[in-house]
Amino acid sequence: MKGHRGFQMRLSRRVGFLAAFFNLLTVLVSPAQTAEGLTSELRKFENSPGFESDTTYLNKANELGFLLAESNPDSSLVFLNSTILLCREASYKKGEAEALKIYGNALQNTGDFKGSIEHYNTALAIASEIPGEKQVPGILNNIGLVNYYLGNHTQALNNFYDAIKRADLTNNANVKAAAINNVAMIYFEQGKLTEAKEKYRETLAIYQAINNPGRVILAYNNIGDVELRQNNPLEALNTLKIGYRAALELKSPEFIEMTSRTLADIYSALDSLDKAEALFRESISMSRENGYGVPQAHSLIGLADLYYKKGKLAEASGFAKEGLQQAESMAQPMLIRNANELLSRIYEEEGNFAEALQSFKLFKLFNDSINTSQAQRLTASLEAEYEFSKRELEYEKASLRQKWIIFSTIAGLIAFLIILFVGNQNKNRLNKAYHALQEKTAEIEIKNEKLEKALDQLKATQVQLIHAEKMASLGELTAGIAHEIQNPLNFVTNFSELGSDMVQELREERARKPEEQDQSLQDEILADIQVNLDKINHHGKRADSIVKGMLQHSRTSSGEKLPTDINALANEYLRLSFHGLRAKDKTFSADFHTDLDPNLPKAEIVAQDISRVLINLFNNAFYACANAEFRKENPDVKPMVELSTKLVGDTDRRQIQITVSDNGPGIPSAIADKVFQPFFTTKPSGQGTGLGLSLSYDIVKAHGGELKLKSKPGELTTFTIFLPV
Amino acid sequence: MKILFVDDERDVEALFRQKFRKEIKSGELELAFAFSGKEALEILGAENPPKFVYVFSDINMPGMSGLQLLEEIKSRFPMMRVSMISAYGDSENYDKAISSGAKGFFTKPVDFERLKEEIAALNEGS
Repeated sequence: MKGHRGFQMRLSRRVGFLAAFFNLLTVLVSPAQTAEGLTSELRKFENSPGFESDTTYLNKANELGFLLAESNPDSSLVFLNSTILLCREASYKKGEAEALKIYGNALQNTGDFKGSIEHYNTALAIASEIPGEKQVPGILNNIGLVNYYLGNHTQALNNFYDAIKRADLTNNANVKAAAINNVAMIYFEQGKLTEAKEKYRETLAIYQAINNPGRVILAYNNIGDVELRQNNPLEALNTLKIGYRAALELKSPEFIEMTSRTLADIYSALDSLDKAEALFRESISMSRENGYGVPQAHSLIGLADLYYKKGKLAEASGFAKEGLQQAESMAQPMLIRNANELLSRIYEEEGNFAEALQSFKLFKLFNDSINTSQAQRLTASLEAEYEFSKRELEYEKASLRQKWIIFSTIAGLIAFLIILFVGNQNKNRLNKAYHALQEKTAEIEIKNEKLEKALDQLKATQVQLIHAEKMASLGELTAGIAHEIQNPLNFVTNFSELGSDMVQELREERARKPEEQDQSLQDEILADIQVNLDKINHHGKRADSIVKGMLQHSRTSSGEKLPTDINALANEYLRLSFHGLRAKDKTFSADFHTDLDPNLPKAEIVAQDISRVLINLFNNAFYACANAEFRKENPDVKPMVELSTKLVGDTDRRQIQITVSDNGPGIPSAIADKVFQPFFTTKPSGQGTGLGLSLSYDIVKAHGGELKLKSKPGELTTFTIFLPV
Repeated sequence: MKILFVDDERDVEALFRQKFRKEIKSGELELAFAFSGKEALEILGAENPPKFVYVFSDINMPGMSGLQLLEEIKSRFPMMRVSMISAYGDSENYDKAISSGAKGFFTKPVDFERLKEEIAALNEGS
């Protein structure tokens, strides 16, 4: 019962804002003015002769008439009638149709629906005679509203659909949206809430597009109303907050009243009774001030319901009676029904059962008359839809003549365009080619950007890979380095201890009587101390150079080329490689041999880069000839790595040649040209980066040198570095 | 009493000769040095049976490693005493050496007192 009542209440309120709605249409066409301002303007016109046939004067008279029809519908009729007559005398058809329509509005406001529709029909007949038929959609929409009020839903829907169609033809977005709004209203009444919301959203989109802030508020209000009906008060609240804020910004009493009323309904549904009450009171006072009869009745009944909920029966009863009276004076059957339903409950609680029964009877009466069954309403709307599709065909026929005119105009235009086109064909062709070229250029630019991006990423990856490879080879070196440092450190320790012993021995010797002292022994000890000190110095430097080399290896290459002793460098890294592998693999066993040219000049190289090449070549060589598998298969082969350096070439183009050979299995010719490719490796996965030789190749190339491979499978592999002197 | 030291670090010779200066002078000890396993075998093989009573060998050497040398010596001269001296004092090397017949295992830097005791024990034993 309660839910049903709420449904009806909202329905009735809907009728309330619709009344405000169609009237607004005309206001928005011309700039809004006050009745006083218009009256004084008309007085000025009346001083000049022949003013009665001046269309400017007649338009102004209609504007004033419109305002009067809204504020004082009863007393406006005389003035409106005189305007109709003046327009008729002046044969100003447009003005006459407008005046008749406004007369219809006034009659509608007084509740004379029959008279209203008669005047609208006369207005429609005249408006249809005027080329362009611009006024037709608006009048159709108003006729639809009256039919709706009269309960002729089928006829109303027909009118609205007609209005939409005509509005489309005359590009009248305002009327189109208004008619869609009215269709939505009928969907709402049928309980097709999803469709109703969709239609309201259509109106919102139209009003936003034509930038009509008032109608945007109206659309939000209606959408929120549907959401409330869909039992989604929180969503409704969000929607209405937008609408209410916009109404306050617009400072329009009409929209402030409307949105505050809907908000009040939402808060009431959310049981925020204080907020709801404040808003209902705001609506009532604004309605009273501006003469919005139906909204006032609605809010009075809403307020009464709030007091009923609070248990304040006396106040509830007072407001309900006032609301009922207002509803009766506005002839709003649904509001009357709601007020009676509420009153019957109030009387019942008060113990006034006779009054309760009376109110309930009235409620029942109105309920039955309003509630023609859902099936009936559905039938009505189905009929309307059928009618509509039939009428659509008729419109198409009717507009055929118009289409012929349009067609011939277009045909002429096309002919003109063809001439133009032929004239401009060459230009167009050029343009086309130019555009195609532009597109290609743009395409190429995009591709270029992509390529540059890819290149940047590749460069970054390369830097990372080089770093990873460097770290990997450093890892391989670590064990060798540890051993290589440990050895000289042992010597430093041992020789310094020996030195101390000898000093002690010397002291003992010198403590003897001079004749017993052995001079040659003393000389010998001193000479040994000297040797030991030299050894300590030598091994200290040896450790120092290893640490320096290691740091250099890990440091980012400065790229600076410095004169370097290739023999020392190669020898150092050969040992590091050997000891590194030995430390990692206890079963590792290999021999190495060096043949270094003592007359080798220093080479201008980046030592840490070349050292990486060398460590790679040595590691590969030792791995090739001394890995466990190869040794198992070839037990007779004694693993041997040979390093040799030599000065080669003509006197004007001398090169340092560094060869690293091993007596491993050799490299099959099938893969010989692949070994310098990045990521190529024959080691089990995870054991090699596959970058060693590739980077080595790049480093040697960067020094202006060459890195060559020679291999006899089953015998030996030789890598040769040539470096310019 | 002849002792052979095998190490690829040549300064080992200067170190040991000085350490055992007194023993050498008194004729108590005679030291020989080899700088690879191959050289050690040549020296040992020069006389048959070798005059040497003890071989001390480094493990980590290019070519033949100390452990390979140990096996070689034990197969050719089973009675020869061999001890290892290594920078790698890990159990893997130790176990390999002892199981191959090494008498002792010394880690670098060498504890000369222990080494002298080991050599002195030879005299008492013989």
